[in-house]
Amino acid sequence: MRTSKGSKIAALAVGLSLIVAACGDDKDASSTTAGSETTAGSETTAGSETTAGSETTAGEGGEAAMRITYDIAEEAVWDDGSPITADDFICTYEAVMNTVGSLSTVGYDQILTVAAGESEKQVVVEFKTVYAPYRGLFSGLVKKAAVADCNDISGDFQTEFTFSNRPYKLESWDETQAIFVPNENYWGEDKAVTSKVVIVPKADQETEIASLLASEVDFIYPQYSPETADAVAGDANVKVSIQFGGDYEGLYFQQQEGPFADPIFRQAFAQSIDVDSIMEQIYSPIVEGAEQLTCGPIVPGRFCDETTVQDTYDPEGAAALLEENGWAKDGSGFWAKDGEAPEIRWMINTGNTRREGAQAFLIPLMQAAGFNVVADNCEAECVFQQRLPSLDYDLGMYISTAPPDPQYLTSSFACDQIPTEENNFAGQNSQGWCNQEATDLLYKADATVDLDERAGYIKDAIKLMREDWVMLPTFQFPKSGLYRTDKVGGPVEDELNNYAAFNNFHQWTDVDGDGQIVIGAEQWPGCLNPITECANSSWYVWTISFPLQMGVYDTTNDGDYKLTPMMASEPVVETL
Amino acid sequence: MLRFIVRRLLWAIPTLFIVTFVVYCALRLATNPLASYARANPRIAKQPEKMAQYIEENGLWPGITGYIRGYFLWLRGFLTGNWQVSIKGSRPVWPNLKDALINTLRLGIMASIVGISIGLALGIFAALKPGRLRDTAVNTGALIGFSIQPFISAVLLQLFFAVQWAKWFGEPLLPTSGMYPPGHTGFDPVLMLKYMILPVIVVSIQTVAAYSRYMRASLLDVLNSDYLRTARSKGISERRVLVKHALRNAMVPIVTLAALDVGAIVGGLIISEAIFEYPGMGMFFLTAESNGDFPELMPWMVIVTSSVILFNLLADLAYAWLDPRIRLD
Amino acid sequence: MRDAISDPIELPDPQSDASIGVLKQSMSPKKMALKRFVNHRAALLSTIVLVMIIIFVAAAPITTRYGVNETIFPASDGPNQNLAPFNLAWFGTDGNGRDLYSRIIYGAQISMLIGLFTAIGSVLLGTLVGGLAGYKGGWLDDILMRVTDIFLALPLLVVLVIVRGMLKNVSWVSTIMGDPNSVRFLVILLTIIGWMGVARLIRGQVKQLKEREFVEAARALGATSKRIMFRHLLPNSVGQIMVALTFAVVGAIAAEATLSFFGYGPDAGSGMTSLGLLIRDSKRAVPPGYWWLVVFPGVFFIILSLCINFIGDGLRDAVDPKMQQDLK
Repeated sequence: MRTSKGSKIAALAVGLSLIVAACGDDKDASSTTAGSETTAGSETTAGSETTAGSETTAGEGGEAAMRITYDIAEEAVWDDGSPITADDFICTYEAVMNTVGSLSTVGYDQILTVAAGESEKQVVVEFKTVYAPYRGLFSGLVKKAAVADCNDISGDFQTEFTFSNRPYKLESWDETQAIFVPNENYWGEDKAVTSKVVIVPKADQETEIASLLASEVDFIYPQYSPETADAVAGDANVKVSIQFGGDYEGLYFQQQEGPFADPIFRQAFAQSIDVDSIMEQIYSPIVEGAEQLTCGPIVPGRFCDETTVQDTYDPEGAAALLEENGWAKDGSGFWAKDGEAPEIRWMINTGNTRREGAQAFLIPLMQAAGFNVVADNCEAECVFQQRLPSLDYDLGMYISTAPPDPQYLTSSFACDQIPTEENNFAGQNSQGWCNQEATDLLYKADATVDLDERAGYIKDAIKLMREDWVMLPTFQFPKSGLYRTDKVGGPVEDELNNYAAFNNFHQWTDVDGDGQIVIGAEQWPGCLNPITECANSSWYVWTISFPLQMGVYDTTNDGDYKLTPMMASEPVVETL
Repeated sequence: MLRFIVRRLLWAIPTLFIVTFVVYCALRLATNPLASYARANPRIAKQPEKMAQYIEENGLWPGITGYIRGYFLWLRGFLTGNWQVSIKGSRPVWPNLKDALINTLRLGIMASIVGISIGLALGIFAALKPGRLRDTAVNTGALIGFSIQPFISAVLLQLFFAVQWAKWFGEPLLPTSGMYPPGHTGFDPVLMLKYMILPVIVVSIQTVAAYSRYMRASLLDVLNSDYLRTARSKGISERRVLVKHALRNAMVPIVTLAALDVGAIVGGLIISEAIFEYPGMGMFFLTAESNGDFPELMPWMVIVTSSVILFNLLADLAYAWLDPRIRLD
Repeated sequence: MRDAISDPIELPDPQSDASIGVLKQSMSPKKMALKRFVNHRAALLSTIVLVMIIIFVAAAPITTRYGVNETIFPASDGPNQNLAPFNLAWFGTDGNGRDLYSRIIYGAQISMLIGLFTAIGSVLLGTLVGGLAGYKGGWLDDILMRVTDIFLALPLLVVLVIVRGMLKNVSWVSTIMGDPNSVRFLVILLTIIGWMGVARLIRGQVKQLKEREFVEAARALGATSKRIMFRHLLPNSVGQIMVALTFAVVGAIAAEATLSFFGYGPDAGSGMTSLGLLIRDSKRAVPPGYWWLVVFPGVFFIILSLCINFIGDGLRDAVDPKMQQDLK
């Protein structure tokens, strides 16, 4: 059932951040539950404000530290033909900052002013700090004329999305389908090719695949599994494309309290995890040539040092370490100190059979190694919206989808992002890890515009993370697109790796000539507001936000940013 | 008769009142609307005064008196049409609920007609030759039907008619899911029926099983009653006995059972809708439940419980009306 | 969902008389009932099959080939997942390389335990409440009928899900009931709903017996209520209680499967399984065509519920012979 799986992310339509995903949701139910990708608490405002004390905040007290000047292309217009102007930038900023129930203000809270420049086609944005991840800002504009009050758009966009500056516009949307038709006023080169694109919700991966095999949908974007390959193997017209993007899975050690608060015990536990055998049993069958992810909580690329998390399995070392520190195996074969063998609660979202399989596989191994691990699971909503943010687990396992900019590391691992009473349990550091040195490095990275220098800080921070045993990356999870070659053609496979997924569907061609392309969606947004909880789902971003809202930069398939046709030239960044 | 009806109707009002109160308390406990709201609106959750305002506006006070006050606040809003907006997406609840209700009514009525008529026919068929092969076959078939849970049959039907059929013949015989083909807009009865076939079959399996047994038992009961023996001994033809007397009398308990059976059919519909992705009351319930969306669940429960109470009432009335042996006062 | 508990065939039955047979043949009612049950061929066959299943399932470590959570061989020796039946795994393997044959036996163990404990709990509670209501009548009876009217008329899944939510959110309850995904929680949850059907059945029976001569005679002789209850009403309701117990077992097994199918069942991450979980997983096996994962658990589940349904049916006919009598 579609129902419970809210794929939730902290990705905003108007700014990008980390997607923590429970993915692969096999929801029987359930799925109510069944659930799928869910956010780990999306608010980072408070944290960013507390950074004011650190050295990264130059120009505090109203002084601008950075200025960006954006030049909007002369011909850039909304679908009703009205020009896109600085007012729309101002409106977007106001909506994000002031709307009640706005999901996240990350980045925007570093802005001092947004104002029109020399003409209404120029925007000048001043920041109170140097904000290196600025490319993620204004990634989707809110049209000023489409809302009554830019300072509170929470009541807008309930069931319709009234504007577009992309090749398609939304003709209709309801619980059963979204219909896109070409935007006649689109000024860019890449005009819409097919006269109609329909996106329909499908309960779960099984229904999705069944619909694809039955030719009811032309394209699906499921989380890949061995079953997927076998399911479509018999159909010559179904093509599978697998790519490795920003998705990665890992094991996380909650170390604020409980057994992993003891660094010795945590290290010994982490070193007792036989990563190779997990790879063999759980990940290798997913896709041929699967290899362990060794970068840390980040995927290979500019910011990754692939030697960071290697050869962690060292059972003898772990046992020796424990013994040196006063631990001994008790009568039931578990490591105990002062007569107490801690119980380790491993939490995943129920209904995800692959993760349940991983638990069923690993728990006996860990028990044999002397660790009393027990499965302690609940539904996706409960895992991602309740227990993860409140650090109510010992061992966690989930998939995260990283945006191109590593800024998400700060909101996920900095000291001031630990959910506490002071920040109203709003941070995303749900491991409870605090290493001031690493935190400083992360904030320094965010304030460093030079990419190589920035990458250096980030790699150093991740090394510290490795030394403290915060998480164990396991696998860069493949992204897969499955499509019917007898129904749809063109560059279907070109953008599957993109943070914005199948965002180039305006260029796909209608092979069978039935006048439409049908895309199956695993989750369905409850409403269409780009700022509030509505937008808190990767499927919202893929099916509503990206196809309708253009901003300054688009993400690219290789995990970078490129300027959109809305801009006349590369924005001018000045540090003051 | 009129007095009986009026008295029964008057009884239904306090029943409804008590039941909705119980449902209110149960749902508030089960969904914890305040926590759901905080989950859905993380930034608002950080502002105590905003949360306090939400509590006041929606009557989410704690404690027994809080529940009672909250119930009356909810009841007033419900009756005056000022329904609370949903937690997820802050949308008015009625438009979606109405669509779901209409879709489910279509599916439910279709499934009931198909299931009950086949069931009755099989029941009569079996009862006419008790103890023979056909009787055993119907009886056994019914028990097998009971044993095939809707989720098993749904998955198997989906596999066979859509996926495997497409593999063998190039095109699926029936669609796997949805209410209309993608991209279709507007009302089209033929397409709608095509998309309803599999969900209806799933619900009908259980209905056929139940009604064939009800009907068989009821008809046998009547056929062996003294007054039919009398009728036969008077030389009335067997066909006439059957049509004029036996079937009519046998239908008395069936009608009441049918009225009491609404819940079972709704139950089958929920499972069927969930698997076939049919946007009805079942999907509505499961989605709202997973979001802990109290403002959506409460009207849903009111609709379901009041129709159950209404049909209970109808069962009583029908029974009293059809069976003259019941004294009306 | 419809389960056998909630719709016992309750027809207007002005003169059901279990002793009709006595007049014709001079046998004790118990022997008669036994004879009728044995004559019900399907029920007899079902009993044999069920007994075999129970023996097989109870003897688990002997009858299984692997542990419930054991791979047939380590993945380092080659792929072990989703293998079609072969000599190392008679029913094939699941997505984790585990032997389906062994898992069905272990899963049946859990499901049948849930079914049995729920049924016993439901029958104890239901007999108590139903018996009291039927015997005393009055307001107790009214309340019982009104409450169960509504509960039994609501869709079972809805009731289960909401009650589950309530139990989960009340902290002192959760200390008694344990984790919402535990077997104990499920048994208590299903008992809370399951007793109602039983109570109605027993109430009807007691109401009928109460009017019979031997009870009136006992009362006339000055027997206390307690004595009448335990010496007369209860022993004479044993048949009905057995029927209720049987249908309660199959009802609970079906309810467990439904809950598991929608993700509210036992925790699969711990490596344990149940018939409901196996059927839930079979959904995933449908598109790739892992037929063994669909067919074996499904067929086993259907056979198991069919057997219990047949036995219940046979018991009902044996206890309440009116229908059988009609056939002759």
